[in-house]
Amino acid sequence: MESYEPIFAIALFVAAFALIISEKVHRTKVVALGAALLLVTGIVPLGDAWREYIDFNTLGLLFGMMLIVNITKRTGVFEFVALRIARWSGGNYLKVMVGFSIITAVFSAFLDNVTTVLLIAPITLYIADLLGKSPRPLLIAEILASNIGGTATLIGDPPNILIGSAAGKGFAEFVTNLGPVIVVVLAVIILYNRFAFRRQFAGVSDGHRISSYDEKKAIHDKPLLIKCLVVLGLTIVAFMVHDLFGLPPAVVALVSAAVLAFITKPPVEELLREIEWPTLVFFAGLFVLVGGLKATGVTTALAGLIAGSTSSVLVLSLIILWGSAFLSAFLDNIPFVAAMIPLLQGTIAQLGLTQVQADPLWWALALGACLGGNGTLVGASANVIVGGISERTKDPITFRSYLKVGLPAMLISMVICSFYIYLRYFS
Amino acid sequence: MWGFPTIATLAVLAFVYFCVVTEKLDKAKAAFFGGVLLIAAGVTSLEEAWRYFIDFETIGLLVGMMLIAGVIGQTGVFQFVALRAVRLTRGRYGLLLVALSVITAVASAFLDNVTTILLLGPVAVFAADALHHKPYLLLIALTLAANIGGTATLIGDPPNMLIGSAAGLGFHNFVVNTGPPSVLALAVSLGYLFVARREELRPTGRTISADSFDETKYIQDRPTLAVSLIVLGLVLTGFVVLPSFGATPAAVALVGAGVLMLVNRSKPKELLGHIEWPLIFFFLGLFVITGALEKVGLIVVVGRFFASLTPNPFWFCIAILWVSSFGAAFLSAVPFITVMIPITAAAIAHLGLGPAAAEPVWWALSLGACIGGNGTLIGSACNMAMSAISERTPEPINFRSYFRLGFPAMVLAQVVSSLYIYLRYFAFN
Repeated sequence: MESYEPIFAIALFVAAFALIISEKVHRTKVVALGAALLLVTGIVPLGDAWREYIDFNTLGLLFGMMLIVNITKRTGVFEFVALRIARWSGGNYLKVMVGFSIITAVFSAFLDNVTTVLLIAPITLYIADLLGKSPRPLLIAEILASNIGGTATLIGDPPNILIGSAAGKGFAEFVTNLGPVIVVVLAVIILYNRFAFRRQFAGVSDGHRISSYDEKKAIHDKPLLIKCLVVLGLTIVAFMVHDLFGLPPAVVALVSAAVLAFITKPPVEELLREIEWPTLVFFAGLFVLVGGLKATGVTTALAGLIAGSTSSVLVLSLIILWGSAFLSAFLDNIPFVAAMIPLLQGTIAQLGLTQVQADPLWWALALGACLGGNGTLVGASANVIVGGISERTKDPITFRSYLKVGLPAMLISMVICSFYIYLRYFS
Repeated sequence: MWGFPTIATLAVLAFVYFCVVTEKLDKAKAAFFGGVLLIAAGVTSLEEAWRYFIDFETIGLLVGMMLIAGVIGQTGVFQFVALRAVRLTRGRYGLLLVALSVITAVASAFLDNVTTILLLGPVAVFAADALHHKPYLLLIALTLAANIGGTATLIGDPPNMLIGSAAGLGFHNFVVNTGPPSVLALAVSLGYLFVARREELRPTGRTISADSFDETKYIQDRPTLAVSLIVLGLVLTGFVVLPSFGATPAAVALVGAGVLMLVNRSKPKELLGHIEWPLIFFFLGLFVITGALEKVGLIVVVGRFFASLTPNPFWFCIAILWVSSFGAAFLSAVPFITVMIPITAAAIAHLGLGPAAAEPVWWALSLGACIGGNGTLIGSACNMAMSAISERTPEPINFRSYFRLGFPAMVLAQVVSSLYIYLRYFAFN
């Protein structure tokens, strides 16, 4: 490796984020060019980018779910659900937000966050439209809830799967250790949303007009609906039991998407045109940019800095919690956690900790990496996807408008987690 | 070898081919479905398919070039040039046919063939109507030219991208080796059209009035045109210069696309919409199927069979040229060549040919696959696009009417290609 390469990779990464934050150029364009520069300078050859750094599981899952949702959207079922919920809320947007936050959190604890927001976001757009409100506050509430909910279980968020297999933790251990604090965080963040968007959530839309809607009219293609619901139902079941068959979620999503596309009529040109390519290209580009940091050893150095900072387990837990929160607000949390795991294992061995003594370190890593994703619009996959979807609306989520709400939310949840870790494991 | 994986792979391949040839089911859906099915059935895994079966060099090159070509196509520069040719030829139909064919061939050497036909086909219809000629002859000439022009460069036609990636051949290798026979093939094909349809090419006495059209209105966004042509120029230069620094053509094309995305004001959604995603998914599916064929060992068997037909490298080249010509003409060029490439590689390995000795084989495959697409209406995607354009004219082109002109033209062009291969690579060695 040439000595300038780590510096170039860092500079490129920082410059890309500066450009994204400035909002002068679309983030997809920024990372596409950044990734291209890494390719042409040979720091990340195309072969390595494709084979090692671009996470085909994420892209496959995203593409498959997008295709399924695009076909399902044509049946009108999302309008149907939205009308139902709008009637239930009686025009109260706050009630909708609370309901959606809880549903999103529960769903994303058991499904992929990506799948959850891809299913919920289209419904959200319809509801906001029915209530005559901007969908932005609701979409942001869903991003926060999806990352919070995903933290609670072994299967909710990819970092947990990595941590679970590295530290030998099962489903039950995750729920009992992370579940309690996640319930508190979710409640506090819902309350926080209420204040962050107090103007948007104030008042009640015309309930009379809403109660006159007939949701049954929304369904315009019954045979297609049946096909979609069967495939979607089987997909969700397959996600939940995927451990049994060893089929990764990406394969499940791709198989379902291919089957559904094959047995339905919409032409492939149309289906593919509606895919959110800017979001997918953003992911591919970001993977390559992060790959640049990995290839040049920057990620390992950062993780080493955290893991080797102190010998007090409490202080180390808190450093891991906050450090991984801030890093995973900017980096993709998967490569970060992947780099962190071997270093943490090394530190644990060095300090001679027993398994019980080391536990708080792993939980701190899980909480920091998963909840840290709430910090910025690019902190987690769900954020990027919802951001992409919101670009279709009149009031899109921009990087800065998200930061104003998301970063405080992340800080609040980190404070809660710090207290939790101290009270539960050290007092 | 004849276990479940082999039979499943063959069944999927047969099913995809059935969809391609009959067009009853969408071929991109079918190929994608087939590929995913092989993963679900455990013949391969997503990881293996992604890392080792999918040819990311070809995918990257396709994606990058489609984006660049899409932006350039939108600037209207090709319509401008074509209409300028209509003006300059002053209604001499034969001359116009040659001029438009040459423009098409040049355009399709750098753009994909379908884009070229979609841009220039309507101009041809307009010119033929104005001159009271039947447009079908002009449309067929443009189609032949588009396929032949695509043969000349690495980026002109998907089969060349596949071959370049598989054999490690670069942009300049293609220009130097498949460029000359492309010029010859174009001359022979147009010559055949002139001889076969000489009475239809006689002047009708009509001329196109000079102010019945205004080609300058096609160019509305000069800055975009200038920038995108500069990017194309840089990419073409990069193809020649950068491989010695380790950057593959795909990386160069992706960098060009990245730069163009950044400087272009259009939204990413629009820019990425220039990419022909159905073709990409067709390829992804085909790569998985071909990879599976290789994994179960079928490719090597067929490759050895090919190699056993003749130990003489020249006759082997000729066999490859004609097999791929007919394969492309009747079985559609892209899927046929995707499978044919690893077979050829296996045969080359079995014959023990070194990289230098293997090169003529790859050129034979390229000429066969690209020009072979001229043989029938289903031979190449741009033939279908041209047929769709002709639906709006009084004399739509169908399989038969195309075959009568296209097939003999293809056979003649391949006779010339065979001679070229003999004279250039074998006669003086």
